[in-house]
Amino acid sequence: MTEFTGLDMEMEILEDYHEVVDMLERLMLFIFQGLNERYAIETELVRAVYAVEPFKLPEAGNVPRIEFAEGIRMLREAGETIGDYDDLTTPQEKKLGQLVLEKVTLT
Amino acid sequence: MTEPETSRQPSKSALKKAAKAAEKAKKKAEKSAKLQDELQHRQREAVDDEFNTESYGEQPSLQTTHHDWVQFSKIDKHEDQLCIFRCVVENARIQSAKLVFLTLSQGLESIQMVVSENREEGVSKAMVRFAGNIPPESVCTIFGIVKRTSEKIKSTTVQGFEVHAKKIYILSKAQVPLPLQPADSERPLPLEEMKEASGEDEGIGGPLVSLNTRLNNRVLDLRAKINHCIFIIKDGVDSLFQEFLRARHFIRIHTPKILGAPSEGDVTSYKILERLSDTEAGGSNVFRLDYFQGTAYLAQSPQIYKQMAIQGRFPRVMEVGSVFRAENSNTPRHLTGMCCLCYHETNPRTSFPDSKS
Repeated sequence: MTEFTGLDMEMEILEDYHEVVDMLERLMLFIFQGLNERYAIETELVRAVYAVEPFKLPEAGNVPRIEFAEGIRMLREAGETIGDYDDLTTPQEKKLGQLVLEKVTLT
Repeated sequence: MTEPETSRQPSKSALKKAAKAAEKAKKKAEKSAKLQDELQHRQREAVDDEFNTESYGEQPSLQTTHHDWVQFSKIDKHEDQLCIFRCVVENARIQSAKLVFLTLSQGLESIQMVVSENREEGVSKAMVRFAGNIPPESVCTIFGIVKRTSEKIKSTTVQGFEVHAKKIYILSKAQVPLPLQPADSERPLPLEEMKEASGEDEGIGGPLVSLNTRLNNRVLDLRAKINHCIFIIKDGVDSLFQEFLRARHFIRIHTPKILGAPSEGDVTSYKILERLSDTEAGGSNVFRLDYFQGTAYLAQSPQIYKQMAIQGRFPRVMEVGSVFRAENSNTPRHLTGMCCLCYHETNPRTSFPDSKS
């Protein structure tokens, strides 16, 4: 896309970047829970046209976190070739998402 | 030092020589005494420094510890407690070798901190000296006890409490001198007419910082409280605009800003402009830009899209977004880029849109 609306945030860090991860985690839960609660009718209408699975939302504080090295390991186990510090390609990101979803639903 | 005894009558030059030597020896003695003094002083200081050097420094000895960081705005809940703050040192006022006052700030809030030598409390003279030399605008981690003050402190926003320092770590030391002090940006820019009328720049209580200096050091300029206020107020307008309209069932839309044709006005002018040549269309107050092989225009107004939304049976829409106008006029009323707050709603009688922006 040559033009899009970005939702951006930036914050001061007191100790480490986990504060940002915490903030984003709570933000995402807030948005998805809010969509479930406040926009159920609209979501259902869209779902009637496009097959979308219902959101699987963990409880706050129970959102799985996977370290980068662990993510790389999971991708390699799934047959991907990737260096320790490589950026993920879009297909790899999608694949990792799928792997994480499988892992989380299993446990 | 004693003069060497000479049996013979000394000559004039020998006398002179001896006097010179004596002078030299005296100077040497003085110098060594001074050195000795200095050495002792340094040793004393070293002892002083050795005592509790953990309590201050430029390298914070803390790893990730998940402290409960305290905000100055909530300090009244922490009376007599040891608290941990992340803050900026606004200034340091050295009272004596044993006492320094610092003004600490967090955004718009500020508080006074006392660094007073107290061996039992673990505050050494060296720590007091360290605190007094912290350059303004340095970011620090502070451990201190919150104390209620007997008198109101007038120079800070927190007036009923102060912090008694226990530990001070500089996290990010500010450059000395800074290109501009944030406090300098808190004075109004002089108006040309006013300057001519008063005939002088002085007497305002500090150096005048030119707009260029401010813009060349915008990060420092932004630290000025007045700039924080301006941004907070702008966000407030944005938020209140949306709050009011959203409560009245307006939905916020985001319309494109890179357009295939100039955007001004209603559908008819849009159609007319579409037929104009590039130069003609670009000659009006729109910005043109290369769009791969073709030409695109920056949106001057979200008008057409809002109207499309209304025609699309969205009863009420609003937008907060940037628009661009190639206005070559140097006035505050003609801006080349701005943030536009606008809304659109259906007029139930005509079923044509009413627009406000």
